[in-house]
Amino acid sequence: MDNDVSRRRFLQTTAAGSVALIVACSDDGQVQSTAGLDAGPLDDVSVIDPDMQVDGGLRPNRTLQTWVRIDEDEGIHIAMHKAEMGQGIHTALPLIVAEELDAAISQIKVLVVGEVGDYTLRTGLPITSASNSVSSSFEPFRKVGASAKHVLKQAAAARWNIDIEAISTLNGACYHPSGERLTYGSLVEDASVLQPPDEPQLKRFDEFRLIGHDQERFIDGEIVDGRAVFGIDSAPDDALYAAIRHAPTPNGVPINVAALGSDDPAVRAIVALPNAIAVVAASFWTAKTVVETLPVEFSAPNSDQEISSAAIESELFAGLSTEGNEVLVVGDVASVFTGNDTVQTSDYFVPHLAHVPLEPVNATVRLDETGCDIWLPTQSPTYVQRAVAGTAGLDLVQVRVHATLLGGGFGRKVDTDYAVAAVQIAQAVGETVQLIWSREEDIRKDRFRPAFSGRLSGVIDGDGNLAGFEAINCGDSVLGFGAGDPLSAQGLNALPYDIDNQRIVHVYKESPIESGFWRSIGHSQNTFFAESFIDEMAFIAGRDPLEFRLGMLADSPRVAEVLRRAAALGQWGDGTDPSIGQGIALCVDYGSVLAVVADVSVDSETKAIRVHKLSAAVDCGLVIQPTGVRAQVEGGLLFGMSAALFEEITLESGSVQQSNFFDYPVLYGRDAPDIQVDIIARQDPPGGMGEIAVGPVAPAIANAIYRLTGTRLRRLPLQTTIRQDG
Amino acid sequence: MASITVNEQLATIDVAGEKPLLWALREDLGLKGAKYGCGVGLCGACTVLVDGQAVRACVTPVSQAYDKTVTTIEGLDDELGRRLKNKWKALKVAQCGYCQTGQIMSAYHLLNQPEQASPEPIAQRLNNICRCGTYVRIHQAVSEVSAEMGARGLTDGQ
Repeated sequence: MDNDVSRRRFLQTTAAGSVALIVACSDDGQVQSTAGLDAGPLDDVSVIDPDMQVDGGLRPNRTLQTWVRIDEDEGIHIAMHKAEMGQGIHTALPLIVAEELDAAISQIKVLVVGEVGDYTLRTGLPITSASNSVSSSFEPFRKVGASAKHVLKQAAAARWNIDIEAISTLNGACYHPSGERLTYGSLVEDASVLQPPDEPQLKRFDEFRLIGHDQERFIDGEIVDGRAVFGIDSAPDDALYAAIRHAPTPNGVPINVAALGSDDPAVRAIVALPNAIAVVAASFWTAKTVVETLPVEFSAPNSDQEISSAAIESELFAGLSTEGNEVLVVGDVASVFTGNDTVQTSDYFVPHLAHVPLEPVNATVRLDETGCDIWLPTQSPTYVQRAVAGTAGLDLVQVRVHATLLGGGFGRKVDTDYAVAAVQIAQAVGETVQLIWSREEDIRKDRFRPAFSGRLSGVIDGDGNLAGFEAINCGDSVLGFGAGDPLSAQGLNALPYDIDNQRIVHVYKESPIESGFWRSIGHSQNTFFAESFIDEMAFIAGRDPLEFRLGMLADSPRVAEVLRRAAALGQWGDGTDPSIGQGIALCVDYGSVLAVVADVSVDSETKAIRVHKLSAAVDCGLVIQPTGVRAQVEGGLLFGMSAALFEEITLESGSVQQSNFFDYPVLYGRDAPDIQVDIIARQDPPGGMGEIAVGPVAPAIANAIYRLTGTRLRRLPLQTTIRQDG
Repeated sequence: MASITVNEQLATIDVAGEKPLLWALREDLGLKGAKYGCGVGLCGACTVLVDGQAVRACVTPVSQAYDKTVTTIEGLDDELGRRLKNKWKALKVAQCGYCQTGQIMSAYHLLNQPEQASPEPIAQRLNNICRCGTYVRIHQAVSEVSAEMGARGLTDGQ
């Protein structure tokens, strides 16, 4: 049956009779084109390889990294699976293709696809996460652009009967030395029969005309006019709306569904899900109002009642004394600690956190005889396809994932729970349904950043240097890998500092509530632990925290440079206002380096923490879009600052205690500090920018508060801690 | 049946009067520029103007807009509205963009009330949440448009 579908699709595209040049890059770096065949619909590249076999599963050898399609009308489409969630990826990646292709920006359109017919489209991870979209896509996107340009030039050379080297390209056209011009569109038919090279000539970085220069973001016009389509905006006119109410505790199930009813004529159905109840109505407002007031009874094991923040915290601290997974061992910490009574040991803690993307999770599902269409904001269209196929009993090719813009992702929209629930509801009612989780459900039933404890120890030698460093942390695995999750130690396992004796240990302790990816993942706790503790050791050594760090970076000039630049930008140590303290912190990951100086004051009466200024320097290698890098620094700093100061999920009797912005406060504009950013431009491959600014904010602020007040805050959120302990 | 003038067009609407204006706009009038963010009037993603006053449409019953004039982001195209939208694009304010329609509506309301010119900085007078953290650019955009519109007597405390 699958083969029939595939064949039919191919015949349809042939019948469409359109000519286009499509150049695709497979996951092993091979470049393929249409070989002169008719191109078919925009989102279909089955023409790339008409002999493909379909086995109903994901096949690595059917992975494409991207393709570029040039039509005779001069339109250029660039395909990607990476989700646009504010990081500007739908501008940055097309620019990379346009750069090598020498296309005009105005020709470019983005085509977002995860699964295309029988192909998976991906670069790096099959999800948009881990700050890898630019770094993993840079080479393949350059390659398709350069390769397509090559066959277009070949076609022009044949047309003019001159050597290909004599041809130049600019703004979507080939130029004859005489100045005569052939647009790419006019060359498409000739070029489409040529074999594009696997190793095309790429530009030198200093030849870039678009990369490194700010371009208009492609989606901004739609955003400011209210025309941008997010998941929540993508319900067809005939859709019904569903609201959901989950069991309040992790293992609860609804038990009195048969007895539930509503006399509201707008209510179309009440649907029982494994862990929730849903109401389907003609209006979301009706559905939400009814689901919140239904007398649903949930049954849960007694153990759910014992889940509380206090219990979690004591478990996580107890875990620090149990055997863990040695993630990194350098030298011999025990030998420098043993018998040394100056070893400093400090305990740290961070609570569970919610993501709270402003667009709550939602999904719209239409099931019919051909399969399933699902519209949703997702960071992982591939996982959605698999989850939907499994839930609905469909083949993968019958599930069409329409990935919309995301109204914030931050890691929440990697998970597929909301997609699965929407499919279950659509199955139950037999109609097209849009499921929106209310803000309350979005917070209570999040996949949380797990709480973590940390115990850090260190000792200063006679020269004032950090002679030994040990860090043990305890918490859940967001990957579901148990003790072996490398992300649990992210931010501790690859510190940039030259420390002769190090031991990093992770103790796995499963969280009683669901864990998920939260922007910056391990850094969100570990960089707070590490960069606060390094600061503690600097003060114990009697040294300036900047100078102390630089002393451990003699072999890392790139990192040291970023620290120095941040210090210079933030006028480190020049402060004359005694009411302001300064703190500094560093983060190295994703191929990037970021340091930040925080200027902070604390109201002596109310203990209100005020962050006046954040001064950040960043080195992310090649900069694709300077304003985009700056935006990621600004946004990452404020996302980190919001959690550092305010955010905390607590549990009592198994239930999340927070439900909306009044009890889960996030940063408002009135609390946003002045932000200065120094971008250190380099001609190195681009690093990731989406997360690196998040982790170092909390320690920079905590370090500033220590300098100002002498109180070391080792627990987030700082605003709560300072009122309790400070 | 009730009538509302939305973006200068008269619309009739037949829903429960207590239905929030946000959902009437989105579900019954097909205007999806105003967004759902919290449902309790705290985040401002749903901000629209009713007779020129900024309201949080998620907690405003549609009946309060009967026989009144509603302006949503889709219809915000007078000089101030265009300046704000163009400034938003020029400064690349948006990241994900979800909250920005509400941000622009709130900024419009702020700058369109010269009689309420306040010594308080713009940052203190805008009260919409942005999870992407675009506040610095929002404040810059509003300050610049405010300065450009200064001839109208508007002052900003910054």
